[in-house]
Amino acid sequence: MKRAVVLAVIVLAGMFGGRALAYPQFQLSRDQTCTSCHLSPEGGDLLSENGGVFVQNMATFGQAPEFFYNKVPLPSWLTVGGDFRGALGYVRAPQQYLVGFPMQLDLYVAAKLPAHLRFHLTGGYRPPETGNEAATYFWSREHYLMWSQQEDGTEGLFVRVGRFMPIFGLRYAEHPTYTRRYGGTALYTETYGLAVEYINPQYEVHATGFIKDPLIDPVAHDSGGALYAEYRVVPHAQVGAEAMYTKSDDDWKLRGGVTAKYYLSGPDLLFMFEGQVVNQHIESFGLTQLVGELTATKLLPGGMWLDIGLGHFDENIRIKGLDRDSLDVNFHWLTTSHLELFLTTRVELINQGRTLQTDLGGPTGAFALAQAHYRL
Amino acid sequence: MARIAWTALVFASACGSIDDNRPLDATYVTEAVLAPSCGTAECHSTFTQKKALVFDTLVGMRAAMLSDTLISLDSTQFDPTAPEGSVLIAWLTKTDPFNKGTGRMPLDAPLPNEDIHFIEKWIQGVPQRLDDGTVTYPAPAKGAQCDPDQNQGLSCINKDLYQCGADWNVTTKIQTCPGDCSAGACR
Repeated sequence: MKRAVVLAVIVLAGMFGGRALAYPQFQLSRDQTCTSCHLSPEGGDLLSENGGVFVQNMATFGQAPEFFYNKVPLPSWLTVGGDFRGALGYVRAPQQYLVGFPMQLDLYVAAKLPAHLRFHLTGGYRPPETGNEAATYFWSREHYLMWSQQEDGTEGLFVRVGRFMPIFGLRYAEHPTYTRRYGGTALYTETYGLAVEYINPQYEVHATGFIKDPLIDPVAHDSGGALYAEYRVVPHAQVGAEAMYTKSDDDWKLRGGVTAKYYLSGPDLLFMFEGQVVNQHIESFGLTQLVGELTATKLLPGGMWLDIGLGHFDENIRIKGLDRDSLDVNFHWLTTSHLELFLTTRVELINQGRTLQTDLGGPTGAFALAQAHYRL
Repeated sequence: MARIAWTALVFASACGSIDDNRPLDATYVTEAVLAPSCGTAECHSTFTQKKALVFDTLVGMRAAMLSDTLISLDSTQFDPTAPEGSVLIAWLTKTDPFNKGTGRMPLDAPLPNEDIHFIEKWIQGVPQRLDDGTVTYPAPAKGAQCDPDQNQGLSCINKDLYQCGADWNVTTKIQTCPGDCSAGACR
């Protein structure tokens, strides 16, 4: 075997770990807001009754969408669910691996309380911390108390306090997307905060203040604030703006960006864009980064959809050879109300794959992963 | 509109120069290079600490460099003219460098060559030509030269034994070791 290329069958638990967020592909193409289908203002996790009906109608083989196929009766104040995901496939960076790993094992509980309050809890598996494995295989990624203006409402004012992901940008479910990885909402960066959010079919605004998690060794070491707003100019088009300030012991960052979505109902095609300019300050040195993602989604019959995405990240716009571009092609198939099959592929080029002078650039990366996602 | 914005982004990215003015110090290396690429949630973050290495904080990065000897500034292993000989650069550039069935790092997305060269420069220090024509490399691995809490706060660079400062840089030269130096002591 050539030394430069290692082909190994390994299990990399958690290397590409993930979580199920809402699919931004459905906002605008199927409904105006995430709260139309999800209990949480950020989307993802538990579905509302309307969300269950949507999934049942969309899936190739629709089943009862409720928890455990509605075989386990639950009191009306309690909503329970879960997401289990695993992946198998190929990674090149530039050595080549065949990989298989669990991505997500999460259970959700939402309990309705008096006075328009609801408590949300997400608990499950996480990649353990080396040296502290016994205490870190399981955690609660999100737990928060939410007050909503309307009882069981999908619109109006929402106030949340607790541990959750600040709402920022388009919120792709795929965390390797540059606008998530480098865009302020990387994997497992949920933290404690207070959010005030207003949502209606024409516009929504989300303001979140957050602190570095004082209870665990966290992924994000920042405290700060995030602001995100969307305005739907017409029912099939929206624009958005975003800003985030974060400060850690070693640096501070200011992000500003725009988002846009446009849906063509005839071909059932959705275009999404998010672009950010990031100003990072490390001691007395400042640098500027660019992060962007452009995605076209073709919604297909039978609970399928195809995404083609172009990503761009420039680590420091002043230095040539530090930019990377990605081409993502993802295919989703919602086979039943509970089982989604998903193929995600990427080719990633540094310095657009060119070697302009000396060895500017870098190796080409790629992955192709087949995923199974079971929603409890 | 999305196309226009995308095109603008791509063109803006092409405006970079090759005049690399990035500061050669540990804080910058950590926050701008290692944290976003190596210190991700599932890998060498404070959250996971895979292989007991942390690259998303300055404290963690310093410990990884010195305690885990990803760079070794003592005279038996450190050659300032060949920073690519460090364990860190081997992990970043070579496929399976230590026959453990893994590497080149990061495992999920390659690091740009310009970032690797920047880390090499940081390990090397800034070369300076003296009047007699010799070249020295002051301030190698600035900000992660020595651990003030280890080896009585002493550390060697190029056979010279120094006192460590609180900023993890060497300060006062204690002596020139007659022989080699390792683990913070003249041998």
